[in-house]
Amino acid sequence: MRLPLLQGGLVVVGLLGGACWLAKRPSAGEVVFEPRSQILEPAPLCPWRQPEADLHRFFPGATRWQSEIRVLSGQLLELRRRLGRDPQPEELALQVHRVFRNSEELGAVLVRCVHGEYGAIEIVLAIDPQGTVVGLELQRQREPAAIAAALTSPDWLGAFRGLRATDFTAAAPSLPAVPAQARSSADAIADGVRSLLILHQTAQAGATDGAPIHQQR
Amino acid sequence: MNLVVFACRNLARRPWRTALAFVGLAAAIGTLAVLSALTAGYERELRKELDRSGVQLMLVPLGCPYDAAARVLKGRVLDASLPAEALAQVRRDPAVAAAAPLLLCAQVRTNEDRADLWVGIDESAPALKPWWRVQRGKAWFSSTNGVILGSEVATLEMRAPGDRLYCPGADATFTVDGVLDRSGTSDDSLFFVPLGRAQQLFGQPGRLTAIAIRLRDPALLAEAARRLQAIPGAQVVTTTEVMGVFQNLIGTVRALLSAVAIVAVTVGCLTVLNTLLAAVLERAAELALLRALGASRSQVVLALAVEALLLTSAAALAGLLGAAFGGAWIQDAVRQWIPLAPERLATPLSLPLIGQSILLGVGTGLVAVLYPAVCALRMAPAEATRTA
Amino acid sequence: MNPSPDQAVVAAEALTKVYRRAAEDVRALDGVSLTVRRGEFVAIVGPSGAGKTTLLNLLGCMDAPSSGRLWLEGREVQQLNERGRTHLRRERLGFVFQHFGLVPTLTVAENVALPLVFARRTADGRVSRLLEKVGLSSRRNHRPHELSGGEMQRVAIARALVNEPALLLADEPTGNLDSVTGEAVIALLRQLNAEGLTVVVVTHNPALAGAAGRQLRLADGRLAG
Repeated sequence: MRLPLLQGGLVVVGLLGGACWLAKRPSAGEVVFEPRSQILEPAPLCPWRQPEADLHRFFPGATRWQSEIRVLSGQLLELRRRLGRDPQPEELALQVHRVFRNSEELGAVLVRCVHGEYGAIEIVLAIDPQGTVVGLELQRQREPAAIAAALTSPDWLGAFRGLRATDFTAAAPSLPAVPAQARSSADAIADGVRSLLILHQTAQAGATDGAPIHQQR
Repeated sequence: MNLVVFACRNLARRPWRTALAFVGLAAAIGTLAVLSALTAGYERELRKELDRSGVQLMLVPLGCPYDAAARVLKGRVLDASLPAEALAQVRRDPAVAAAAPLLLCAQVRTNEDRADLWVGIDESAPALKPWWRVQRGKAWFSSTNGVILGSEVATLEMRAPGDRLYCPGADATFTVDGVLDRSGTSDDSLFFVPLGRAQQLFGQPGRLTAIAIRLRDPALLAEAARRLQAIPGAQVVTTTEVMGVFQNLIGTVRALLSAVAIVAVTVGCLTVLNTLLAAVLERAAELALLRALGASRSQVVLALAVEALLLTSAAALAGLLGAAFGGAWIQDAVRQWIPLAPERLATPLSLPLIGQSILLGVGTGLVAVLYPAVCALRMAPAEATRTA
Repeated sequence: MNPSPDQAVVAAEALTKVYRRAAEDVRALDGVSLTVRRGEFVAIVGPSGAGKTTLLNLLGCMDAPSSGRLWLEGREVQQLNERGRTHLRRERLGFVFQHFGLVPTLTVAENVALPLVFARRTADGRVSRLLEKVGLSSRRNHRPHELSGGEMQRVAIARALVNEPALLLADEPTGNLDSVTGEAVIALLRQLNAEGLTVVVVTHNPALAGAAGRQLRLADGRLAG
């Protein structure tokens, strides 16, 4: 069941990517932050694997969550400017899991796959309604033990807490150092977080509420 | 006016009762149709999967041979293993055209709720896998640390040829040599590594999980099986037997599903019987009146039969429509109870199945009308003056 | 008794009907002999339990006598099988019941046409003519529950006439009607009789009995007088 969905999703994001490809490139004089790692390939659609546990961890009072897809193809130029690269096709259909306590919105959870050094890394990013990071975790990764220990350490993951999309625009935020062999995966995660925050902020600024595609208490 | 109009008006007289009987029977016939289609589809897909495997025999460790063969074919893990000498013996057999040794190992990561299936193969494996096509990268391992990925695994792990891939269970890092084309088989979700490396990594030096065998001539199957059976610690399973294993595995489930369907149809039949019987008893005076007005016994029975047939035929058609539109959903729901079910299970309703379902509906109507008809026949026309 | 087929629509000789009730035999009719000639209007009267309806059922071939003989238009009924008696009811007899006996799911026109369905005949305008005759043309598409008692009984009379019967049998046709509508039904029956239809009614209604040309009084299953 998952593969046809995946393929269907890839077809949709492929079409959106076509539109992206046709979009005008930014002018040469524009200053864009260059992260150390850049997303260069489409990512598979990433499921949110343990919503109950994540909600408990990041939004203890949450009573329900609701998934929506925000289509960002109308904000290509803005995204190109802020990301400093062409958005990947799947990034133009951002899945946002909005979290509520009864009718009060507590924030949102964003999930994506990034290219780890030794396999895909699935990140789960929790943000508050203003787009500030509440928490970050890796729901799947296959890095060697030493690297995994560095990347999943509370110090390193906790350093993302309080960051906003704007913290990534002019320069890289200061994050704790990781061992050299973990740097490439750490950079991929940081860029994944940065991309999600920018995508979400762009979606918030320009889009109306998406239609819910899934709701759960 | 004719008897059909007369019957329709009578059915509309108690709309809720008629609707309940209709829905009950439609659900029963729909369920039966879906389950029949499911069983037929299961067997067809299974046969296709076995045909595509290009394997006529499997050599598996002693134990339950059928379960072992079924697990190997479906990419599941075996606890026992074959000695490596078995491979040389198989390859020496004059009837064997190709023999591919396999070592399967599951790397379970409970904290992430996943299990990676690693398969050790040697150069003979592609010959036994007609669908083996490399989409990107190399067709074979460039070193002992090479890995070839199934298409689904490559997508999920975001790996391309040249990328590194870590196997946490074995604490080993591989380099992706190639990514396979999507085949629609269990290979799409497997990690293929060189056989020797797999044996070393997973602590099974010289051992094999199974040997897949293709014969020079399928007619040699019996004699080859007899010879191979003599290999110590091993036993032979033919694909025909594997087919039997699959069918045995689902036999209990199928029996249960059939029982459910039979109960559903029986309940549907009884509901229709109840509806008709209630209608006859409730309309006893009216049926006597019809007799007084000159209706023959056969005409009264015919009126009831038309009523029953209209109800049950319409219910059968509705059940079939429900099966056609909701069948995939029901099959998905049922699929999880069937062990080792193929990826694709949904199958369209066939003409014979549609015919059978309509016949079942009509038959139900005829059976259900029997007793009410007998009751109607007993009514004397004189009842009309007593109770009209 | 030797009835003349030309003259008698109904002839009965020593008709007896015995019902078994628990361990007891109940003699509902006891040796009733009668003749009804073509064009007659006969009223069968008597107290409740006298056997009037039983006699009507026997005359209408809806029940079989325990003993005795019955002729309808010269044919001896006992010699007919079930199919023959059904045919006789359908083709030669018309029935009107005290409770009207209309099928509630059918319209007025469909109720009238019902015997034609059993006879596998087409209406050919006959239903419309009969509804006009009983004054219910405007009600042809109504259901019985939309009619008054008198209207329902007139529908029942139209239905009894649709197969052009030789004999109209009516069981208490005014029993469920008020006196005004009862009068209308009596008038209709008199009109039909005047047009040549043989009519036998069972009634307690003195007005209806008075409208008949002849009265037969039943008491304890026997014809009195």
